[in-house]
Order: sequence, then structure tokens, then C-alpha cells
Amino acid sequence: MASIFSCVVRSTSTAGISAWRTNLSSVNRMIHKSPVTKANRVPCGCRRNLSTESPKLPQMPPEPGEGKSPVTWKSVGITLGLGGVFLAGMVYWKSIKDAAIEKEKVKTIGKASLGGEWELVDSTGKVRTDKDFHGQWILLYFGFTHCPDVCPEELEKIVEAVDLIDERKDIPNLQPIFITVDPERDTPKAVAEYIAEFSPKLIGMTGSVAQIEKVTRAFRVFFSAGPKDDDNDYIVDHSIITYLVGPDGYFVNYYGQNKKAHEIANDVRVQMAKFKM
Amino acid sequence: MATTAKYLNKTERAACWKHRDSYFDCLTLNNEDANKCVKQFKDYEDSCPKAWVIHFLRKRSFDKMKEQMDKGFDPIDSKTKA
Repeated sequence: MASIFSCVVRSTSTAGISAWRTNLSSVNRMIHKSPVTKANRVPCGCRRNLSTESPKLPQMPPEPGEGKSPVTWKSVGITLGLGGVFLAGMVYWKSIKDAAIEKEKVKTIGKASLGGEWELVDSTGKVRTDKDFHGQWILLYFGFTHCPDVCPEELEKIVEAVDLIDERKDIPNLQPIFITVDPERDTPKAVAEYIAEFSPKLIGMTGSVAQIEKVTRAFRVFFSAGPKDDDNDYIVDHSIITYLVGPDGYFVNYYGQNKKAHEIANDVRVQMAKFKM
Repeated sequence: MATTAKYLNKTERAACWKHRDSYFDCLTLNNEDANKCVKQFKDYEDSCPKAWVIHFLRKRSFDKMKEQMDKGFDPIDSKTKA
């Protein structure tokens, strides 16, 4: 009886191509007569079995849903869980990175906008500009010689910080500079008398009202002369900040009243190291 | 612009601060009764420029007020209640 196979049976006869062709046409007739069903679908390369026994069909791969599959609800759950953890980690890491970028942005903007060009007169009457100090690290303080208590305290602190830095021979020296916010009273002579009592290292600057306005604007220093009393005396209200200026003439960091001398010195060392990089 | 405002050097500043502190300590000890600290006040006034005398007094009241506010005192509340 004719077995119905949907594959092309290769003829092994010696009759050659014509025999093969005959076989092909007979197989064709068979294919068109009988539909291919799951039951009789077999991989090609089978050998025609001439017995009347129905051949053993080889095992087909199981359909999805049948038997053991790698994809189960449990595995899906684990994958989603791991994916979620991974996603959360990514979001967190990104937010930290963004915050750091923002911080750098603000820092860079802040750095660029403080400092720059200025021209003043020092305590010997000589004209000095910012360019005279390029290449040096500066600790800058704005005050006035008639200051009741804050300026002397801050200047003592600055001098102490400068001495701490200068002690170390492996880092650049620090140049302390005092600039007055009271150009009306603080002549070069008055400034000279004032700074002499703090340290021979301390340079003092004054200038015309316009020159002082320019430098205080460059460093965003607030200052405001108070009302004059019977002695024509007055107190100048001003921001109490010590500025660290780098070798390029621009602001690097600032220190408030609460910072002690050794804290300032420590930070200056860190900034000097960072600047080299 | 001429000024009769006294310029104080380092030693004179230190003297002014010393008398200021004596006066303030006296006030604190005597419950802010200035009548008990007349001598200290005179020394304080003599050693410090007028502008500084007023400045330090104002600063002291301001610091005291801040201290009280830290403890919960509200100056506006007390004024409206009075």
C-alpha cells in the first residue's frame, strides 16, 4: 500500500534522473491527493518504510503550555523584580550625578563672576592693579581703620592663617591684602599706620571713591557708611568676608567670621592642590 | 574731610575693649542697673570713641534680644499684648 509522506523521497535506484523524475511525479500526485496533517508530518530525509506497520513518528517539540517551560509566573516575577531594582538604582545614580553637575555649574558660575580687574593705591602711595598679583595666592579682606572690633579680629586671624601656610615650604606663600571700604578717611598714611600693627606681610590698599566702588563691585562686597555723629565719626557697615583669590585673579573660596585660622589654612591648602589639577 | 573722630591704635583698642567688658560685666551682675556701674561707664566712655560706645551698647542689646528669641520670646507678640 502506498504510504503517504509529504517529503520527497530520494531514489537510490541506478535508473538515474528519469527514475527520480518518475518518483517525483508520483509523489506530487500523492501530495495533492492527500492533505498534510499533524499525524503524518515527518521530517524529510526519512526512508520509506515498505511495511504495513505505521512508522513511529519522531518526537515533536512540545507546544507552549505543555509540560516544563523555562517561562513561569515565578520567573517573570523575579525578572521584573530585578529589573525594578536595576531601574531604581539607575534613577538614584543619575540623580546623584545630576546634583553633582549642578553643584559644579553653580560653583563655576560663582567662580567666574567674582574678582577680575581693579586699580588701587597702596599704603606707600603707589598705584597697584590686579595684574601685579597674578601668579600669587591672595587672602583678601575688606574693612576700615576706624572699625570697632570685627576688622582687627579678622585681620589677626588672616595673618595667623597666612603664617600657617607660609611655614610649609612645599606650597606657595599666601599674600594677605586689606582693602578699605572707607576711602574718605583711610588715606594711604592712615592705612599704613593701621596695617603695620598686624604684620609686615600685610599689604593695605585705598583709592578714590570710584576705584573702591569698582573693586567692591568686582567682589560683591556690601558696604554702607552709617550716620555721622557730633565728631563726624561714623561706622561703616560691611559684609565680613575673607576672600581667597587664585593666581589668575579670580575668586576661589570665601571664609566667614565663624571660620578659625587653622580651618582657613586647611582649606587654602586644599584649594592650592586642586588648582594645580 | 576733616574729622575729630579719634583713631585708636592696637594698644588703645585693647584698652577700650577692656573697659567695655568691665562695664558690661557690671551691668550683668547688677541686673542691668546702670546706676550701680557709673564708674565703669565713665572709664568705658573715656577710652572709646563715642561712635564705638553706642555701637557696642546696641550690639549688646541686639545679642540679648537674639538670645531671648532663641528661647521663644517674640517681641512683636509682647508689644501687641501690652
